[in-house]
Amino acid sequence: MSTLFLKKNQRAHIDVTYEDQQKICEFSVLHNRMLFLKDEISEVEKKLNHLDGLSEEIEFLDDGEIFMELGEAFVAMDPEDASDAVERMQSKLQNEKRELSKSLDTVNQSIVALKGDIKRVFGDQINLE
Amino acid sequence: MQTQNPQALPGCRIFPDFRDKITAMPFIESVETFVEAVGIEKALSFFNDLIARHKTAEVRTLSSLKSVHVMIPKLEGDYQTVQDLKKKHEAEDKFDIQYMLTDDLYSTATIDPSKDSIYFWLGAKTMVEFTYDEAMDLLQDQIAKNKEIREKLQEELDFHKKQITMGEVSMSRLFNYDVEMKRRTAEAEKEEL
Repeated sequence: MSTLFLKKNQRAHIDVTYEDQQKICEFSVLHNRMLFLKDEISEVEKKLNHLDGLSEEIEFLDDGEIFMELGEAFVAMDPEDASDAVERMQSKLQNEKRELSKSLDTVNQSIVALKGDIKRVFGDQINLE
Repeated sequence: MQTQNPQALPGCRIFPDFRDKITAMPFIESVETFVEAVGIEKALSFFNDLIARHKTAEVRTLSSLKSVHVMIPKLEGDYQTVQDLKKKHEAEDKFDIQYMLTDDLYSTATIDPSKDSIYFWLGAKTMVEFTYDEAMDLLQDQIAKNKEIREKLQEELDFHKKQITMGEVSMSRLFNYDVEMKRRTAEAEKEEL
């Protein structure tokens, strides 16, 4: 949490203007947004890893059939169709990951800028995670 | 001091935002004015209480947000499934599926997709029949509505977060002011001796 604290022998009392307060509030919201986006990206990466493993397994299957999910049931498919389906899922997830990463970059940029502003006013007296 | 509708808090800026029956956090323009007027105990407890109320609201909003957030990909998955079924319907091929009979048992069924219909389970022991197109429209509609709700909830969450942050900073300022005042009083008393 962001807190202001006076150092032990500090005399000068830096108070907080409304504008500074707004910046601190904005920072806390952005910080949460950043954590959320990081989580989302890691979820997507987990799914992508899973699909990578899956497409490897499908390659070993030459003939025969594989059962793909259709809702909560399974449909028999031949490996070619299954590969295509997996590829489609992968490209969708990769797009999602790209979008999320872009958003995360924007958020991080704003955070760096805000942190600079806030630190300039308060220096050590504020704790921003 | 009322927390419902603070009429006038000396030295503070009041904001009209009033959500979830909780007022927005006031901003202390002048710590000195505020503390001299209401006393440090009341000042701290006022902000403490308001922060607690916003934290409760934050938890509630976060929980709703998580539910909606999980619902959307589920609906998108359903939409995909209906699309896939429609393709099979257009191809007019019968096909076999393995479906869940019980948690541990799956059985084979032959699906004849010649009929343009799919059934929605609406809960409360109600199932409704739709054509594939109608089902897709309905699902898209649901997805859009849920996305809207998600946005609104996110905005509310951000609001509560900002109020809490402002409250916590205010409490730090009040506390620091009090420490400083006590220190000055102690020094003044030392000088008199």
